[in-house]
Amino acid sequence: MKNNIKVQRAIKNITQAELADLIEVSRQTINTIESGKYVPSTVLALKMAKVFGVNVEEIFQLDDSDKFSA
Amino acid sequence: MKNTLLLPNKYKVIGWVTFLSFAALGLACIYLEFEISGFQLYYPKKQGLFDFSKYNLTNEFALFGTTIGLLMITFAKEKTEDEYISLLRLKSWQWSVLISYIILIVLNFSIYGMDFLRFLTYNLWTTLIVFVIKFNWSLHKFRKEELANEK
Repeated sequence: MKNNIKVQRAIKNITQAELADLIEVSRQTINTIESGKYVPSTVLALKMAKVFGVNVEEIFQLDDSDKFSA
Repeated sequence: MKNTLLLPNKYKVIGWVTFLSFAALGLACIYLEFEISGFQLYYPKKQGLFDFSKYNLTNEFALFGTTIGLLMITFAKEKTEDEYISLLRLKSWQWSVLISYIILIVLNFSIYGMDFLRFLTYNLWTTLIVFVIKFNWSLHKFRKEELANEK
């Protein structure tokens, strides 16, 4: 799964630490999500979407590593 | 998602103090034959040939405190207990259970007799101690990660 949190943060002009505070997680957790090492829970993804004022799909998208037949 | 099994963060410090002081008491019991005199409920009438029990509760007390202390350390929340830290916690438990039983299997074939019994005493806490090491190591690596994506 890929994400564009970095881009969304740039648009909103907030740092990882500020985003972390807003959604009540640690700064390093934002870092692991942003670098694609950790896939957040749906709740956390929805909170992020709310902070950025976009839909979840605009932040997170499936990529080639998530192949499935549908 | 709230993990309701966890204790507040301050129990980490309380746990360490409890664990270290009771572990010291336990070691004193084993190696220096230290006991708190009069700290017992039952007084055996006659000493049999193989009566190992002196019914003194110092060692029971030490085992109790050591275990409670370690449980407090392992179940205390981090300051920011978020879902990634919960994942690290879960992974660390899996590791510690696995490693503990590998240690048990290996030592089962490599030490015998009284040495094995002595190991079994320490083995009461292997899972908890391996968890403390593994979890803190994971947290350390997690926190050390560079702010590479920050800019």
